[in-house]
Amino acid sequence: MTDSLGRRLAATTDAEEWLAVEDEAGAGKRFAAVDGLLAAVTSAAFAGKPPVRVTAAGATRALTLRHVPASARAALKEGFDLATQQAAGAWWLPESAPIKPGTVNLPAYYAIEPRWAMNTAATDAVRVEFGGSPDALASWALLIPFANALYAPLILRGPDAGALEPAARDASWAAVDALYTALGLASENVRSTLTRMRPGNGWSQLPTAEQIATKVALLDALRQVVGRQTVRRWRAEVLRPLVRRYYAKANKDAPTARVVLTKALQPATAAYFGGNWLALLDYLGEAVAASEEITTALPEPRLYVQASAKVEQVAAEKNLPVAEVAKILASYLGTDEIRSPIQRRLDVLRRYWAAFDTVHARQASGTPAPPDLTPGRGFDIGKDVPFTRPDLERVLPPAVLADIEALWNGACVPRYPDRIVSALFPQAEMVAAFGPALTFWNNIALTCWFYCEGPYSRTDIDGAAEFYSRGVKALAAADTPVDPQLFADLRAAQQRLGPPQELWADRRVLEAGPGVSITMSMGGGVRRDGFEILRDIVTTHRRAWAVQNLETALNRAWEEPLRELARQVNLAVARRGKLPTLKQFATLGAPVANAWFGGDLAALYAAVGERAPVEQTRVQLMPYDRAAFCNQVFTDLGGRYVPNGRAVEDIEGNRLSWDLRRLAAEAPRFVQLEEALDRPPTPEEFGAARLTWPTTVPFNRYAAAVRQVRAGLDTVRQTATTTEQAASRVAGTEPTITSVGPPASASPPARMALLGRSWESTGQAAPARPAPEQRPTSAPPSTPATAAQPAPAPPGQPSTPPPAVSPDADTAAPERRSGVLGRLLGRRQASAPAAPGAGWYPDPHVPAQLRWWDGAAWTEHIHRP
Amino acid sequence: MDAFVLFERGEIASRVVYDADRVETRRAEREREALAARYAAYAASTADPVTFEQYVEVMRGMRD
Repeated sequence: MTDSLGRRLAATTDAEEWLAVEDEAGAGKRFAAVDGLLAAVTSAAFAGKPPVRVTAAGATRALTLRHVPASARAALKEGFDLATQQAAGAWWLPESAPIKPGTVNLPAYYAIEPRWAMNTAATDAVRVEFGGSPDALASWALLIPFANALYAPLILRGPDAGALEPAARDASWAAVDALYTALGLASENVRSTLTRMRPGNGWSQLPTAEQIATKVALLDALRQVVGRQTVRRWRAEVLRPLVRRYYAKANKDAPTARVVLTKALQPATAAYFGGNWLALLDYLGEAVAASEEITTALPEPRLYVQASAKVEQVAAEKNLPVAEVAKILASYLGTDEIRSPIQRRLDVLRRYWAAFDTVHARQASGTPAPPDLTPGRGFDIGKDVPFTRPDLERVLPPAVLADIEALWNGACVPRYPDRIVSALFPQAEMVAAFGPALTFWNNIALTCWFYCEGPYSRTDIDGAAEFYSRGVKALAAADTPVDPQLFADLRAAQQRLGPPQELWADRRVLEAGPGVSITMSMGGGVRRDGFEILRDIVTTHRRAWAVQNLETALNRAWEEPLRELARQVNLAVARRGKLPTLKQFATLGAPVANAWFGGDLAALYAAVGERAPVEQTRVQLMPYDRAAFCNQVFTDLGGRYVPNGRAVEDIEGNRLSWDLRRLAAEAPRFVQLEEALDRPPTPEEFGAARLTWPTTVPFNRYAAAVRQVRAGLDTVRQTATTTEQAASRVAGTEPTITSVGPPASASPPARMALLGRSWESTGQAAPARPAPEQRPTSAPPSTPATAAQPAPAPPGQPSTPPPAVSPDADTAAPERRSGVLGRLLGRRQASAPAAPGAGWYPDPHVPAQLRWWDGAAWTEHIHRP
Repeated sequence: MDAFVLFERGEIASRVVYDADRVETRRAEREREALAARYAAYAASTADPVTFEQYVEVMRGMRD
């Protein structure tokens, strides 16, 4: 019986023998187009025409291949289309990658300007998306590997020449010799040039001009010997490891693609078989494995986000009570209400927009500067204290602030996926969730203010369109365009503004003598009357934009990343045959989990219709007022604040002040790690080495100070007033959560234990639980902890669970559930009482305080709101 | 250009090739597992739960 072609190829020892076996079997013709493409590109480069071109394409860069003959262009289009390869089962292909295609151009660059050829090639580095770019995929799979091998001596003598250890360097040169021999390139000219370049032959003693001349000579020598046969031999060299691995993995059964195709072998498979495993088997003459799976398509993502809108419709279709369908949905979402985590956050974002709009519309000349309503992930520097609270704290309604705190305070850190920890900057997470519109409209309003009121603005009105062009493009790309008339109206309005008035700072009048005085002043920018004119223009456009686009912008903000996450999950399943691990899922999903799910991965799994492998634990130790926390840490470390404005008076004090400020600014991250680890982080876990530590503040002292300070501060913002809640309910936008933390007086270990208990997973299918933002710590009477509030039970009966809710209990706390669920579940509560889960409930003995119900019995933990 | 063999029709294709219908079936199976986990919580919280099949139908009817 004759061996398969694959077995005969695996037994060959050099490229010539490989090609002879292949030709004998008539199997080489299938590669003619790809060989032709590689030969054509290489030939163009040797002819002095750079085949790869990297150009700016919007915010990214694009790669195109030039000087490719029409016949090779057709092969390129057919053979290197990502979607086609994926449809053939090549889901293992990366969809984007950072590549350095400049080496493909090296011969041309040396022909054009040899002195700068290597540097020019280095500037071609680019991250490319392979989808819709066969040129990029061909570069990654075919052209760059060949160029890197062919021009290896130039790279070894390039800018990074000294980066290799001697042993690695010698191995690299040996590999050059072996490859040149295998490819039939070891001509006399090539060998003599290589000898001059090889280590130990005085290369570093050569003048630069001579080094360059030698490199050019090498390329000239290569040009004379590189040809069609070279690329065929190269193919044999890159396919040999693939074929040998196939047979190394073949035992009684044929191996599957997943077993054979390591990362290193994937480019060759993509280049020569179009990513098609069956084509490779056909070439080898082997049968497909019994357990093989070739996935030709990904399933459409299915999301559970807006289900609450369909409750009544589905109830009618399925002939079920509306309340029952609502209960089913709430159970799926794992919370006590039928709004999804995203819907709850959208409600808050709408309220935030309303407040944002009001603040900017009411801003008037003569009032303090407008607040920055898009805080970032960092602290503002104060005049008198190192850290200040974000501007928005002083202008937004407390209910909105409390909701932001409640909904964006949880975060997932992929390294610790079984925990929900505290976000470092919840308001920044909210801003990130909103998307680019908020930032654009905030910044244009600030520009108008500072242009008129001074002292300086980042752009003038004439330059605003250009200055904001990136944001405008982003909004246009999201189908929520800004009317360009906005900038035209602002420009036209300049005529109605007052003349510039010099602003003076630090003006002093000195009496120099009788009748002589000297006025000293420093320039402080300019102001001009008429801010309200610009403000009203922006307000008009902002409101028109919101009517037209706000809902679209908000929906795109969650839908695109969530659908992409669902696609990535499906892609991972196609690649590995199983769901991503929890850590992998957390890595993929952390941004969307933190923006829209409070870091709750179980809720994120539910939203994309997948089973959560674990219920995360939430431990909340972080003081809600991050700025106050950091200021106090700064003080406790012995800090004396010397801002830059006073640096000339106290240089050493200023330096120490900034070192301590940097340490204090890291305190929230220390606490976040403490939440994740259930203990303080070690210096290594904290990354202490990257910080400057004054001699007076060793790590241990720092850790003790941080823990002591945070133990004395509240973890949850004070709740909104009852009046505000009522007003919000009237408006149909009641706050989602108004919880408070555990007693501030609780000791840290007690606090942690207390908090941890509320979240412990049973390892079973999770019972209905409060939403993550509702789960932590304690809840005041106004907290929607669960739909079913337990009635008080005497503490003397610890084994008796709180009785199921009664209709009275249901109506006694209407504010504890969303309006929709309250309406939908109102009657159900009376007829189908639900068992209460663990949580804070009114104390059976002392109604004014809360007591912890652990799901089975009352505990000794109480909380006095 | 020589065309690569993509998939042989017939036995091999039907055995190893997972087209859109088959991958959707698999996704639906995973979704059903997720629903089963949640159904347990639902059933434990109510005296008269709907059947699992009804639960699945209801939830699938409410997808986006």
